[in-house]
Amino acid sequence: MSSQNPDFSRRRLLQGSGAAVAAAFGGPIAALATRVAEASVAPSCQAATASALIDSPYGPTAPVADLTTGLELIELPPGFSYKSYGWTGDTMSDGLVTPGAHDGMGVVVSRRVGRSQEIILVRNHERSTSSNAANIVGAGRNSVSKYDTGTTAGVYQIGGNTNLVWRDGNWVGSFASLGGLNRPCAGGATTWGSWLSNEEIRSNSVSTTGKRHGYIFEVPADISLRAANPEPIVAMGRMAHEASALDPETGYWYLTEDQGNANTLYRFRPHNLQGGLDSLHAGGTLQGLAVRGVANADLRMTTLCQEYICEWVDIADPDLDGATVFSSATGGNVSMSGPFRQAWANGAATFGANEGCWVANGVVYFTDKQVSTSAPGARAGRIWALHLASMTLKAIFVSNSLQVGNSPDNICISPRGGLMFCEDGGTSGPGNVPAITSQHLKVLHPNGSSYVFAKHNFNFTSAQLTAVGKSGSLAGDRRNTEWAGCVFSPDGRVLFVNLYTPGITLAITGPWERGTL
Amino acid sequence: MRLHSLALAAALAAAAAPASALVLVQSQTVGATAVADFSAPGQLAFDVDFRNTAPVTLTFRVEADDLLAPLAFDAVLLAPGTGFDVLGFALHGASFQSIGSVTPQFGGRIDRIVVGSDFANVYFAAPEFLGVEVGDAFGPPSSKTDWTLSLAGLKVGDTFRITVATNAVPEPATLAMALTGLGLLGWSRRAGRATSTNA
Repeated sequence: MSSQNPDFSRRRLLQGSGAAVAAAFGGPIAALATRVAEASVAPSCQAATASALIDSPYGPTAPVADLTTGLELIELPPGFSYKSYGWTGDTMSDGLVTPGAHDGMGVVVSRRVGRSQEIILVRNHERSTSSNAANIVGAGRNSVSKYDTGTTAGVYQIGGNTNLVWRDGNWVGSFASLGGLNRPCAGGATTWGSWLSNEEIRSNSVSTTGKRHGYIFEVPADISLRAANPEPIVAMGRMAHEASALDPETGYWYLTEDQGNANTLYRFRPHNLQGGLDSLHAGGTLQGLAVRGVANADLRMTTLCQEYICEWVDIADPDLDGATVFSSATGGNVSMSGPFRQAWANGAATFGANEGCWVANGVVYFTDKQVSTSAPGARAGRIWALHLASMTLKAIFVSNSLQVGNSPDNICISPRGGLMFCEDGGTSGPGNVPAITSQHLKVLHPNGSSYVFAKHNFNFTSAQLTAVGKSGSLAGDRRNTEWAGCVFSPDGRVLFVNLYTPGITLAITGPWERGTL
Repeated sequence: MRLHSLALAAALAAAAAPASALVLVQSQTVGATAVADFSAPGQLAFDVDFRNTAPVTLTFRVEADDLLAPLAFDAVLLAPGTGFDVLGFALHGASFQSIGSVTPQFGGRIDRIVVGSDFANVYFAAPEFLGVEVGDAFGPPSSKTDWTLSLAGLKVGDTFRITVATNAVPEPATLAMALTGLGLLGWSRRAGRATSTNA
């Protein structure tokens, strides 16, 4: 197949066209996210200062064989099954090789095409740099947009995106969609068939092509119709971005930043609230979250159900350079992004290291993944809920033990209103006995407790992998590496999620109604 | 000029009209979504998105082209949150002539299929939580096989109905025989006796 003629396979892959409109058949079930929203705001918290781990209503997990390869990649509760796809090194439908570091992911299109149910996902590959230009996602393929093909400090930016197609219970194809990024970590789905891919890097450096990094980019579902816009959405800020979540009621976006001890929750109000491809490139205003009446509140250490009344403070220049600045929270200098410097100067609060973000029924849910045994206290992660109407911020999950929640990263809310979080922790921290042997997908129960839904189980030899057609270079014990990119199909039947290492995407289904998901 | 153009347009439209096919005249659903848009002359095709375990009953009116041969039947059924342990089909006014394929879309496994003149029960060894393709709903390339129904005794304008349930339809006390297989059979039922295929 010619590298200059890649479109034929992709056009067959994507059988529909037009806007991402979910039909009544196979479309979203009635939004039940009020379950999570009510629990987060109503006084239903445990009579405790921190969350506890409870038994899963789905039952205990056990290794389950992958329906695609037969390998026991993960542990699941009884009745659940899964199909893997898009392993690092697999050849995609466009002939390119699947990059690794599978990270944030979202459903951008869910539609009925004839009698088929088709879902298109966009996946981030959180790769940073390489001395080899051939490692740029989409290298040599003109149809794949690239932001930066130059070098920064002598290396190329090799992060980017791929799109996946799922149809009638099967994976049917994948293709590269955007390259030239530096560490696209998490992101967020729009309501018009695209994905925001967010670079997680705080840097003032300029590449040989005059490009800076730390921006957000938009990736469409079908790049054969419209290639990804290679220009960043500067107005959403230059920082170590994590997730971005759209509130469809207002058209506003909520952003998280993973800059240790120097980050807050942001709100972006687009000038163009009509939506559509490139609408966010028209600009908007960026703001940071502050606690009313408390300048520079330190929210790294909180107790379960603790509440704060908040407000937004302005950020004049979203593209301001970052700097090292004194922080009253830490009592020392910290590295701050340009947007946070300004928000901080205007009284913004600080968190440990914010990660996942999701909006449901007028509530913004986001995670602080920081794990530490140092001041202001031993902590292993938090999940917050900001009720937008009242601007009440509430700690709905407080983990002070790795057993309860080990560095909650990406999150999603199922159509039935269950909140799932991906662990991205390590083996050191408070509550590390018994030893942490794997990272989990955990669920936040409405009462503020957590339970285990799935466990990472990847531990294979090169021979075992090559026997099923996978690269032997992926071999090793990867059980203590992160889950990422969890997202449910709009009808709630399928959970899509990534094993960041060694880089695999999974589709999981089963008896969801037995539990809170 | 305008009237002539309209008449010509009408004549062209009539010439291009499809042959008369099954007409869905009634749909009884409780929370489910049922679509029969893909039925065609001699082809019964419907899709059901189950959001709960309540049965779905569809009533069809027979048209001329449906009586030319056994009626082919296929369906796409999306599972409720409790999954499919059993799928039961009940016919009123028509009868099963042959069974075709039944294909779970995800992790489900078929144990056996029991068929009578007016019922068919698909039993799962492992529940299916995504969906099931009955017959060859998605078309080529495929090795799947549609089921067929007999409309013997019906004439144009008559109706028959089919009910799809997430529980077994009552079966006769005795069964003619048991066969092994996964239901991928274009085998015809012996008149008046129920049959079973095991996975």
